[in-house]
Amino acid sequence: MWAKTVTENFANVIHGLNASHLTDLVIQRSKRMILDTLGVGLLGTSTDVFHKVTQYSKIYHSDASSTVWGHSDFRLPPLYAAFVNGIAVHSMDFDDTWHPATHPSGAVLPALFALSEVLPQKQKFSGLDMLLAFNVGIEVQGRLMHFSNEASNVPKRFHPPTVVGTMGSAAATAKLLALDQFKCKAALAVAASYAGAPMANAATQTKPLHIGNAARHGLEAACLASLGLQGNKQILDMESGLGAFYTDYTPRFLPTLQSYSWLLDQQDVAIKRFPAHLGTHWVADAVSSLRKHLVESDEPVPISRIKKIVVKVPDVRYVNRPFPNSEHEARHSFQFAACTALLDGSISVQSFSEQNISRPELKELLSKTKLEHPADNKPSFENLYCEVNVTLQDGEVFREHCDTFYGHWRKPLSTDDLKKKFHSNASSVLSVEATEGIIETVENLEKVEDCSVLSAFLKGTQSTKVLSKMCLP
Amino acid sequence: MKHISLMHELPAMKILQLSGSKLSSPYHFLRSQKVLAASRQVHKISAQVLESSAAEETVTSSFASFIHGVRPEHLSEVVRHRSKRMILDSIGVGLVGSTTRVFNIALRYCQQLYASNAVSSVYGRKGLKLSPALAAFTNGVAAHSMDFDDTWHPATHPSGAVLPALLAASQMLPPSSKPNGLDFLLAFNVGIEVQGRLMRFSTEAHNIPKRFHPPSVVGTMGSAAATAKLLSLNVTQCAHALAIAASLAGAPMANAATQAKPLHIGNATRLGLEAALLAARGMEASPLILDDIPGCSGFSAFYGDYQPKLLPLPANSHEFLLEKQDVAFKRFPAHLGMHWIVDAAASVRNLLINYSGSFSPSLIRAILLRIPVSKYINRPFPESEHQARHSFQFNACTALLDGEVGLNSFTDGCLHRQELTELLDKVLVEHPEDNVANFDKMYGEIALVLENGDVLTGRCDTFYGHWRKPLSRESLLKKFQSNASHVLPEDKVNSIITTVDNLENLPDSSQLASSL
Repeated sequence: MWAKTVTENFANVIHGLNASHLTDLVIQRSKRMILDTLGVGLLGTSTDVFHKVTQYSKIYHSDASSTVWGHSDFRLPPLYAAFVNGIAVHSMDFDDTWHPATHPSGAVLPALFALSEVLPQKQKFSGLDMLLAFNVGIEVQGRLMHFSNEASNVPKRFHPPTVVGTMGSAAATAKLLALDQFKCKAALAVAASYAGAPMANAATQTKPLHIGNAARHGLEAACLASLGLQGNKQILDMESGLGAFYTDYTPRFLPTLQSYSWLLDQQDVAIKRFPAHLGTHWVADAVSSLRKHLVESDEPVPISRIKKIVVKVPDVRYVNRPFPNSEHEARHSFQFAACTALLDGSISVQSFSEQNISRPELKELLSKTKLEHPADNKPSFENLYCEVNVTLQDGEVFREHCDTFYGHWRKPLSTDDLKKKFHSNASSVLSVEATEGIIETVENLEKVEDCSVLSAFLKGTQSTKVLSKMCLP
Repeated sequence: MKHISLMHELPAMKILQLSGSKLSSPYHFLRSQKVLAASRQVHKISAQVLESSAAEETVTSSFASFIHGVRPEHLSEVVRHRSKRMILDSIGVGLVGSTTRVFNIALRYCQQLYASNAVSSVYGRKGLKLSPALAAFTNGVAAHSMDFDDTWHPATHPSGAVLPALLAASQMLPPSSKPNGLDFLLAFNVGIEVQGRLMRFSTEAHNIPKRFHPPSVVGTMGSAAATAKLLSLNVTQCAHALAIAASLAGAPMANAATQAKPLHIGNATRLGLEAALLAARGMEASPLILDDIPGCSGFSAFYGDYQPKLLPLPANSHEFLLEKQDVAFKRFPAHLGMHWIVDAAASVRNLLINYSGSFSPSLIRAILLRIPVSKYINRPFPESEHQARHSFQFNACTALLDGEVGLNSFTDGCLHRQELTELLDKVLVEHPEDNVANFDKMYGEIALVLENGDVLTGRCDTFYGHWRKPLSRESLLKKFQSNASHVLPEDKVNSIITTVDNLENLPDSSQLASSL
């Protein structure tokens, strides 16, 4: 079978090689390698670094564990609680986005919650401790992104959460653990060696792992640093350090603590209204407005009367998908967003279900849709816009433009709408009491004495409805 | 009440006791520094504090200071408000996300992997078992902990990234489906081969690395491939294993020559294993991860130039890269580049002894090292064992003094010897243009300029252990015996040698892992 891609080809070979392919020389050489490696490994067990990592790894031998959000029936070791909860946060591309571009919160929050649950009993974290550590994690991410001009644009090479998110998680965890400066430095250095995943896995099922891994690896780095592991003390200064992930890299000092100014003060995040890539939110708003010119809100759109749809957006390859095949691809498709908004008036969680993705009406509209990339439409979440033109068969043209969608930092969601989004999301797995409890606790977070109440709410109770949802294939 | 004042002071045995008890948390080592500082009164720690604020500020230390020094009072109103909105939204999104398929896969993976009966062995810790990924991690760290493991061309440390994953995985499988020795050997070679093939996608990979540490790039992929093979994943799953692994690859060079470097191999082997396990559970990723897609990087993200090539399809015979290109085995635990200079130093030392009857450092005015350009192995005065293993100067002078470099050369006692420091003071480094930073082409040359003006030169083009001059079986066995006997009794040591010798005939390859 001839492979069409190198990737497929590799998979074929890995799968197809068998013992008869091994030559004598290869056997001989590889056995020498195996023997040498075993010996070297055995010797290496007497080293300090080995001692530290074993101490660390033995944690997973124990009963200590953390909450898996929405699950009261079992728990996981904190590293893996952070991993799965982080994945949950990014699983639908529904989480917050910042400028320069990354998804800051998902890389940090799960790590903090997981860790807060396993520290010795007498150790309590107040809401303020949590809030501070959280902000340290966000701030570090923002500052690191300012070290590179290429970070201001929608990424092409490394997925930002995997670069700065890992660092942010390490910083936040280090803060919660109140590590001294030397260990904070080590946490950053070790974290850098876990950072960086390529963009190609965006729009696939693996993308959510980018946030899950950022959270868990940052947590791990801080734990290892806490045990005394050290890395390069100039990890942020060197091109061969964090600079390895960027083509232009100019590290800068942070402002003095005497009068610290946070990036979040100057630059808010965008909160998504539906679970898809941020770029699609401009499209959704432009198309929703345009649709109002076409028909009344409760009327269906006359598909056959539409001749063509032109969506003007910046050139962002991984969100350019004319005929998405999976929910992950659909969440990363300007075209899908345009046609869904045109058909339904708005985009929601349900828009990405199997049935909705494969609707014939949708496919028909998609075949009439094309993208254009005007030169002035920059691939940056600060500057991009969307213009949509719909041309009818009779030649009439409708046009709408969106510079700032509702939820963008320039036009933030109201408190009500933010709560509504939370209600809608949380109630899919939690009781009303728990949902309300979380809203209230977070609202007053700085006054909360023991933030483990949050974890208790997050556990949820199992109703059969929820259980059956979990058994999805 | 006894307080734990310094984490690393707690002896290993105590930790074993603590983690055995259900009452106390093994997380004791994470007790917040706040609590410790209070209980410690004002007791200051030794060396770390001496390395104080007198040292120049770096960006890195400014970040560390910020993280450490920032207080709740620094949070402004706006920041509090905005961050609370973020927290709320993030939780909600996470909750709804817990109903997704990808979450389900990840969850099942974690539960099965972290069941309380840990199954995989750890080097030198008889009786201790860990979950497979963590056993792989720990063993991988051990393999690279002293920079004593094998090196290939193009440059990477291939075996440490693959073997621990396979050992761990072999113990994971149920008795009815344990792979035999030949399966194991095949999977091992798949892991090595994939690494070699991937490195040939980039010309920059031929030289000593500058940006990403190769084991963390190709090693992760090799581990995923090897594990996929051992677990007999289908073709699609093999592809996904590679793609998932790519999202776990890549650590910067800056951590080489630090204590964190061994984690590069530990993580490569562990994360590759995890990638394969996730693929086995149905996780999907980019089907074009190795291909070159302009505007959206896959594996190419880790290289400046990238030209992927198809792997020849196996019909009756596949030519493994290992057939044409052997590895180098190290004779002492230091970066491969050191081996040239040490052999050169040993030979010039002999010249000096013949010349003047003994090795007298006082006769030497200057020591000229002619080495390739490579910043991370050019260290005039290394301060730690990790730096010393990555220092042409240190290794040259140690070989001059002692005639050879060995395990003990990197102990604290030897690191800071007066005689050594005196020699280091006399070193000058030159980078001849023809000395390329490439393990196939480089050489090491050392010239002793004597006080009387005479110059003695030693040169090494191919050190003993390099692929052009491989270690004999005797030498390889001697190295293994010397290493293994640090933690295993003689009969165990010999039985491992026998087992590996007859690997193809072993009915149950998990025996290899359990013999460690």
